[in-house]
Amino acid sequence: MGDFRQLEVLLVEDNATDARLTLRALKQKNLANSVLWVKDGQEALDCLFGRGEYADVPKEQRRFRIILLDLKLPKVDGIEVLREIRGSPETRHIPVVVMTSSHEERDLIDSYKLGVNSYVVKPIEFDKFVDVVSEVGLYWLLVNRAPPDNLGD
Amino acid sequence: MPASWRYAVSLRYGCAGLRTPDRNATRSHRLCSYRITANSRESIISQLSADAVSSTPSGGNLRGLRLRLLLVVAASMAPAIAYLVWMLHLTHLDELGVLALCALAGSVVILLGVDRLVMRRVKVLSQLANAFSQGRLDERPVLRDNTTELDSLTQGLCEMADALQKREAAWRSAEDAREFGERMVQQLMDRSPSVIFIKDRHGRFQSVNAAYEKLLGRPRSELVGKTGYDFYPKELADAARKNDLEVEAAGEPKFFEEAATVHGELRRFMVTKFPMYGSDGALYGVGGISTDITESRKATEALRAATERFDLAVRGSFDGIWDWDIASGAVFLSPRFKALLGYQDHEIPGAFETWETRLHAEDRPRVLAAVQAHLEQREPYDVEYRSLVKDGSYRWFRARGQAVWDERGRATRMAGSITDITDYRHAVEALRQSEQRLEVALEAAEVGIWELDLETEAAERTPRHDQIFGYPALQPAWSLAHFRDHVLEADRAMFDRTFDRDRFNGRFDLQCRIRRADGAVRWIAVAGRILRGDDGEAARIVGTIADITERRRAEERFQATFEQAAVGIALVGPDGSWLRVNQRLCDIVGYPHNELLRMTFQDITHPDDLAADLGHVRQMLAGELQQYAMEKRYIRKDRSQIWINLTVTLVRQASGEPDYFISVVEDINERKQAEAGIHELNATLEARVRQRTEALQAANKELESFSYSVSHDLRTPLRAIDGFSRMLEEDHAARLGEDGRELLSVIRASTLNMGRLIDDLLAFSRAGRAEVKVVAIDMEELVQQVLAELGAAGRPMPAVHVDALPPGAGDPALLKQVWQNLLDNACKFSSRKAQARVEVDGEVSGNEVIYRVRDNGAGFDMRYAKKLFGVFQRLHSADEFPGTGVGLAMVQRIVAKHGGRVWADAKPGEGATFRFALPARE
Repeated sequence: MGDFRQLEVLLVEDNATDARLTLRALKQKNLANSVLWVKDGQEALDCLFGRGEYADVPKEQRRFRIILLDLKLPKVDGIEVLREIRGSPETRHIPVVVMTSSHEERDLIDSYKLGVNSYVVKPIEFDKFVDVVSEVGLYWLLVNRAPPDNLGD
Repeated sequence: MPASWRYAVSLRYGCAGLRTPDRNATRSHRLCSYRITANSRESIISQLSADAVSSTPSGGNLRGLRLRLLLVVAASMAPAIAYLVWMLHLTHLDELGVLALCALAGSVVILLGVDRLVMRRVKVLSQLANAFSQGRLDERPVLRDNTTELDSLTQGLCEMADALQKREAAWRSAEDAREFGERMVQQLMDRSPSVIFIKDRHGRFQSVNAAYEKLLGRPRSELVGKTGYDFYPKELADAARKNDLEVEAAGEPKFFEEAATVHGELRRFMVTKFPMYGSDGALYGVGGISTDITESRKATEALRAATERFDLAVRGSFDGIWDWDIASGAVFLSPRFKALLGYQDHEIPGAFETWETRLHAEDRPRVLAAVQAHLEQREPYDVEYRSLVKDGSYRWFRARGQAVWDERGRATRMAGSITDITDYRHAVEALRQSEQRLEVALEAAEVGIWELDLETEAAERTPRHDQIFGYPALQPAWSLAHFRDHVLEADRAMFDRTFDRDRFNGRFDLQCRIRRADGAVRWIAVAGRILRGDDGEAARIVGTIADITERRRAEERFQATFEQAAVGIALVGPDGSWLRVNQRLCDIVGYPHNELLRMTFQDITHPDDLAADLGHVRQMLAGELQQYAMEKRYIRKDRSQIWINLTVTLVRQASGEPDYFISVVEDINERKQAEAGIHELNATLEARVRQRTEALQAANKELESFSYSVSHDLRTPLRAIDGFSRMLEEDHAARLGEDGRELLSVIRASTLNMGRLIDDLLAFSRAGRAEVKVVAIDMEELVQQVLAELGAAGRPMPAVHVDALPPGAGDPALLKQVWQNLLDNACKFSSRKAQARVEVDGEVSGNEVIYRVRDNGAGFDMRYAKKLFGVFQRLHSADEFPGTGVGLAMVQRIVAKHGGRVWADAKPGEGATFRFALPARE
């Protein structure tokens, strides 16, 4: 599975511990190999659109099947990142799952308005957290069928 | 020369002869030229005589004639003699001298012959002419022969004298007759009382008589030659002239009535006009005789008017006539009489019974007695009675009559009239009632009436009058003196002054104090009107009297109120002038009392407020407003402004005319200043509210971002703690040992507890901020949904009985949280009961819908009920029942936000009942 797709998950998470917990959860399901973890919204966008330090990275290596997006991010926050992803023909078809600690209704509404695919509140209890993350990973990477590659072109 | 004499004589004769036809002229002509003719006749005679004298040669003249004859002959001879002398002198003096002498001698002989043949006869002729000239026409010369022309001449002259003598004799007798006639005519004219005149065809007066002179007051000379237009107004002159022309055209006399103004007075004349002709038979003009008929015409007119009036009176009389021939018993009732009874003439007979049977039963004896009294005692018969008329009603009649008695004193006949006086009686009755009403009204008004005879000073009064003076009944006599005695000493001078002054003015009004018979001092008002006698002198005063003590007291109270009022009060005339002002008003506007009374409210009203005030005044005068109030500014005497509140009402006279305004003026300056302050505050309030709101909004936002951060940032570390504890446990379990794992589990439990606390806190915070969107809610469905969710959480559920719930209204999401908390609590606290049971029901009570959740669980002590709804307040330990103490606080918050209330009832160990009430929708 992972052979022909080096990168499948873009994890946008500023909190290292959360990122680590997420990666661990994915790892437990053998889904962590193709995860690219970026720490803020700006880097996520650079990566997706081949800008900044990702300018030299070939396009094929910047293709993701799923974006796990935290909302509360330094520099550019998650909602803004989502807006740019959905605003660009290149990226708008990529499934985005918001994973946040926030219960705020406002975030929920904004996210769905911008066409988020899933909105997941990260549980505090680790077991539940692992369940949630692994379910998300399993669903989007294994169950769900991704759109064709040339969709964005 | 004799030929020229004859000519001269015949010329003068001819002149006299020319007058002759005049004597044959028409009589009218002679009338008009009567005097002229008479004058001219005498002058002609005297002239004729004078001419005869001057033209007849006298004796002296005859001698002159002879001399002239000699001179002529001598003169005719002189050239011949002179020639002869001259020739003699030139040539043959001697011969010629002889010839001259012969010629001279011849001349003398001729002269002598002529004298003898001519001069003697001329002398006779001269004497004759002289005699004729002196009127001696009967003188005749003695002629010795008739040989010469002169002799024939003398003869002719004598014959002429004969003829003249004859003619004069005839003439004189005719003249005498004419003179007599003319004198008579003259007398006829001048002595006639009628006006007589003759006009020519141009309407010019040619002759007028003395009466006419007298009438116009002008001498004849001023009238003759003038026309009617010179004396009368044009239209009258026109009328008269028209009549003249009519007579001229008709050629016969006519009668006219003409008018003329005489000494400015219009008088009427009966005029007979007739045409007049000249001697030649041609129309000369019009003659007229007129008689002044003004007086008789007036009398006729008066007579005619009187007759007419009489006719009218008879025709238009409303009186019915009756005539009773007592002897025969026959009665005549005029048609009018019957008509007054409502009948046609033929419907009822002219009989005594016709009248008598219709008399009103109450009046009949009296009326018949009156007839009897008249017939027997000759008392005047003048009665009023009711008589039955055709339509069955009774009408009032007044009957008057007069009998005729014969020489024996027996009444033979009685006649008279009846007049329908029903209307009059009704009017009298109405008047009586009106008077009675007035009396009652005055009595009710406690007004006494009096009438004072100014001569005797005695007064008639109504009982009320005397009561006012303290007498229970009418006093037998009362006079001005009585009145005066009652007037209080202090007021007596004023009373006398007023009475003496006003008794002649037509009206009399005064107020004074009296001492009543019982000693009490009272104020009275007396008003009177003077009635004048036939001579115009004030004869009586009729008036009213009223006790006005109470009114005076009220007035005094009003006066006190007015003067001591805390507000300014003023009576203001319709023109805005201050009629009466109190001290407070003076203080408010800063003007002294008397100064203010000379001003108008317009003078002291702030110009910016005047238009509005005058607008109100206009509306009020027009009757559109009953009262108005406004706030406005006065300009005080010191030119400062003062704000006042003005309330104005209008008092009208009984006639409805505006009388005066009552203005109440309240000083609101301080209030206005305070208001200005408030106004300013208000103006800034909005800004401050905005500031506050902004601050609040900022705080809210802060709170929001705070809770946002809390939800993110507080949970993340907890997750890390739990996650890494878990990882530690998993990855290093062996090294941790049993104790280590035990410790880790405490860490993780605390972490989860912390997480729940945060979640609840955030939920609570959200509930507080949430906007309530009220919609209709099917509560039963909502409850079932919540229960299903609770059950799905996998916890043990008690038996839950849900009754039929009334629908509610509120925010579904928020109310769901209410149900979640209440039901969760009920389940939680009853979970330890063997027979756990939860009941849900609801009811509509008044304006509320009350929902109830009851459990048979742990319950609680009501002593702590107050703490129940506080945040983080728990009545059980977390060990007994898990929880954060936020649930009920949130319930209360949400219910409160819906305008509802929540309360609880419980007993420890027996369960709890929670109720919440929401406002019923509509």
